[in-house]
Amino acid sequence: MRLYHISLGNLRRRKGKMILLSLGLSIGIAVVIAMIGITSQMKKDVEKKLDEYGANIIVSPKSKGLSLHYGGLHIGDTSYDIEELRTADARRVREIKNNTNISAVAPKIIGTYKSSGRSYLLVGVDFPSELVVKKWWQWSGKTPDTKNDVLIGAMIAKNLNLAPGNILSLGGQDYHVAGVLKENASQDDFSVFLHLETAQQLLRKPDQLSMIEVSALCSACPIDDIVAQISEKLPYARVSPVRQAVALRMQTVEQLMKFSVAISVVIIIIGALIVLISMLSSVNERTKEIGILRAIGFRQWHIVRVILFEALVVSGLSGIAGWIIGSVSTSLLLPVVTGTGGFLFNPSLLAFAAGIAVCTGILSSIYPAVKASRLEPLEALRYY
Amino acid sequence: MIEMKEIKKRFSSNGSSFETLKEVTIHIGQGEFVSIVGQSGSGKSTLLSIIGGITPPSEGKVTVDSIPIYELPIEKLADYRREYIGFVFQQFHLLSYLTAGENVMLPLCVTKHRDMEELARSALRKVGLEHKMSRLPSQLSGGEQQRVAMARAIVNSPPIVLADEPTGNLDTDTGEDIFSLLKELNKDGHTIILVTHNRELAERSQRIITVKDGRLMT
Repeated sequence: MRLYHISLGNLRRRKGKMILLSLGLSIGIAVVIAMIGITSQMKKDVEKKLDEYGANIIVSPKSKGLSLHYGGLHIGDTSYDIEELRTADARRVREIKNNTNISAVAPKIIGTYKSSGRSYLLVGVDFPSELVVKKWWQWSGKTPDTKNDVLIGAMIAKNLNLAPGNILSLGGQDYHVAGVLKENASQDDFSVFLHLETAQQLLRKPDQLSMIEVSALCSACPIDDIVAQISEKLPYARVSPVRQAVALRMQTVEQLMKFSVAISVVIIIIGALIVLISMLSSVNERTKEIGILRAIGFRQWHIVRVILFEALVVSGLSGIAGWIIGSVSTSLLLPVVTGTGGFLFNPSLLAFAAGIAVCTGILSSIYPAVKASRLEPLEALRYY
Repeated sequence: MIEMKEIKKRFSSNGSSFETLKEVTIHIGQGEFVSIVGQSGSGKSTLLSIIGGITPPSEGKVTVDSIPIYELPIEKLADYRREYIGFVFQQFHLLSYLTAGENVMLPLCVTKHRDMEELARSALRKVGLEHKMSRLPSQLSGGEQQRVAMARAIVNSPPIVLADEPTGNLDTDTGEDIFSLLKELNKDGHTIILVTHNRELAERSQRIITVKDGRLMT
């Protein structure tokens, strides 16, 4: 016979009320678990989409001067460069420690080219990588495939009256216009995108790169770590994070998390109030019993322990039940809310759910427990 | 053993105060069997509660084995109740969801006695209910419940047993059994203080204290 036998006995006696209390708390915990599950999945989803939206690291040659810009970003001019980027450097970016965070490495060479009295802005790219980095691109025609395929900006197409399937002559060589980009109010509208090697030959810069755009997938976004690792691999290059993109990602994710935390706090406060009211009611119903225990020599602390143990059992079980209900609900709701699935039962969330429930249960029961322990034995015995 | 000097007890209710005990002085020696008699509301149960450490006097001093019990810190007073006093109430006051054995073990469970179960069995044996140790109170008759309450009162061998109308809710024969048990406990060395309306039972104790309007009658 231990003190907890009294707690368990009382829980058995008040089974119905305890089940209702447990149910109330379980639903609260389930909602918190579902919120966490859904928001963390949404967070991953948003991160993925934002990461797909474009490059967040630019690798360019270290240079002495500013002579050429692309998309608002500075690219070192070869005449002043003291270092050069090479095609192999793009592969070396993939060799960093955090390479799993990298979703795309898009090397490119940029230069002006004169042909038949016209100047063209040529951008040599690796199309598969470029299309990952430029998710927003839309074009008519087909995706460039062969080395003679080019993708041209909307303004070039308009000025030269070119359409998909036409031929563009550059330096006496015919190129097949695979597609025409839709106007996007950027320098892309005036550019001719062609295969990297082809552009390097035309610009007479074999094996050279003007820049490398890197898209990093990052949840906590160790962007500075990735920048440092690339800088270490390419000491002759300038590696710059695009802070705005990182900040936007973090802000979006933080807002999601803040929303989730705010809702969870409200739910937990409601759960705490339910426990408080229920435990106060339990103490009132048991006034005589508490009087008996005090009369036969229970200390105040013993009474507190009996009541807190009851709270511990009820809230612990509610935490486990809440985790199960919350996890099942998340699995069912995720496809509806985010269009994704794959939520797995997370044991660390079980510890979290049980912890939150127990803390809520215990903290809410302290006042009823202390109130019960302070009952005067004689007054309590006269209660009935 | 028990010294009560000039005890006064006042209760307040709805803004008015009334005195239940008026300058009561009593000495009860170790091993005595004392009956306290008096009309309802005369203050006899209050007297018992003050001896039992469950309500302090408004004035006066109570010492048990020279310990001024109401000068003890609140938790030490709880220890006094557990170690010195065994209570038997008119309404038995057993916990309905615990078995007879568990009810008897209650005073022991806070001190984590090693041989708790054996002590409870022995106490139940004394009251003739060893075989009903695992029964719930609802499965016992009124007399049996009172005997379980008595076993709970003596399980940790307190020197004093306080019985407040222990036969009040029982028929005459069962009441007689309970009284006999109290006599046996007294023979075992327990000091017994019995509050009763039953003058006949009271006259079979060693001493009768009569309380009238909060004062002792000699």
